[in-house]
Amino acid sequence: MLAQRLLKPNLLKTVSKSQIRLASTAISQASISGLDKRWENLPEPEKKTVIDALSERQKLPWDQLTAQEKKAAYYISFGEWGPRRPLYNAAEKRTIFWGTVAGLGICTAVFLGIRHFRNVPKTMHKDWQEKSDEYLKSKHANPFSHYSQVQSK
Amino acid sequence: MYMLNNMLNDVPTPWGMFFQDSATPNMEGMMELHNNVMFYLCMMLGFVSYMLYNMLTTYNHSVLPYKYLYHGQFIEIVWTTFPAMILLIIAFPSFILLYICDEVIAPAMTIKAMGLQWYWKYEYSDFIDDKGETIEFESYMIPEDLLEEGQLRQLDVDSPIVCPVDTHMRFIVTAADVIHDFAMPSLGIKIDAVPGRLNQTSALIQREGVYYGQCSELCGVMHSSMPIKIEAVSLGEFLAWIDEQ
Repeated sequence: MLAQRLLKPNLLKTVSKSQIRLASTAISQASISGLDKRWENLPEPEKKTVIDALSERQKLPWDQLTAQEKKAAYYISFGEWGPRRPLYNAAEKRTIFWGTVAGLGICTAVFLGIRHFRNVPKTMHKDWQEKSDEYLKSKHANPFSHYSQVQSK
Repeated sequence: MYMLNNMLNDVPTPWGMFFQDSATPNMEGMMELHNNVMFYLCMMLGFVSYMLYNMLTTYNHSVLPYKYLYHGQFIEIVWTTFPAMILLIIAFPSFILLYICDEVIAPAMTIKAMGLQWYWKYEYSDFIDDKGETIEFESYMIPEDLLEEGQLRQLDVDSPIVCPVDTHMRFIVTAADVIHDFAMPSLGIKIDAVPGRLNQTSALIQREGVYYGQCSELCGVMHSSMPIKIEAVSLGEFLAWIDEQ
């Protein structure tokens, strides 16, 4: 009780009447609606005004804030602006995606091209490989299991 | 089943995934050691996975992992001594095999293999030709355009080593220029060919056949083109071959 009695006059001194009035009145819809669309183009003094007004409002219990005010306060503190602006916007992301797809496509095409024109050894034919098997059989190769060299169709 | 068919190949085959068939007691030993070690590995993997799974799923619903796995002197003694014993079980057969393979006991004949960039030169030091010189020849890989139908690309050579079966052979391996490696999987041989040094190993080939190996120490641009081919024949055939040289 003593502490309350001592504190109260001090509190009244530090919080001016105008501030209390400012905090107790809701901020006008016009100044904070759609803030995320126009925030970055707002002149600095107006930004400061909105920030100050909102921080005053936030000194009240937060359930007294309007939904618009909560959204605006959240956007100013945590929204995607300034350093929190995403690295790429949607159009840039699309460009990156299709660029990567194109790069992979070119690589695949180059790979398939090289593969198509590669030198296929003459041993890579079934007839040859069957002859190899005959030779290995004649040499008693692999008495335990399989010795087939056939891998081509 | 297809995978199994590709295993245990005598000569390298396309997509071979396992050892080639063994032809010497040394290689038999290596495969057996491999299988034994693999058994312990699978057992350990299963056991550890089970314990981990048990700890994750029955975190504190069961007294067993809670009481015995998170803390306890007994379990700590167990999980220290058990791996040590497993390591010993793996290490001792491994050392025994290592020293058995290293031993060259009373070989009946010697073949000297010399690695050169990029071919092998073999010398049958126990035999001399008409001129009184030791029999020696060079062995080159057959290039692709000279291959006859059925010959194995990058593996067949113009003059293979011919060895008698059931004869204790000594291979003396060296090199003339850079380090090569005389490797013959079916015989369980893989030994460095170092210039200025004679390394020796032995083999007792137990069945007739044809065996392929490759240089196994990176020795230059044509490293892949100096294969080794051994034909193991009966003693009679071997002596007939020696006579022709």
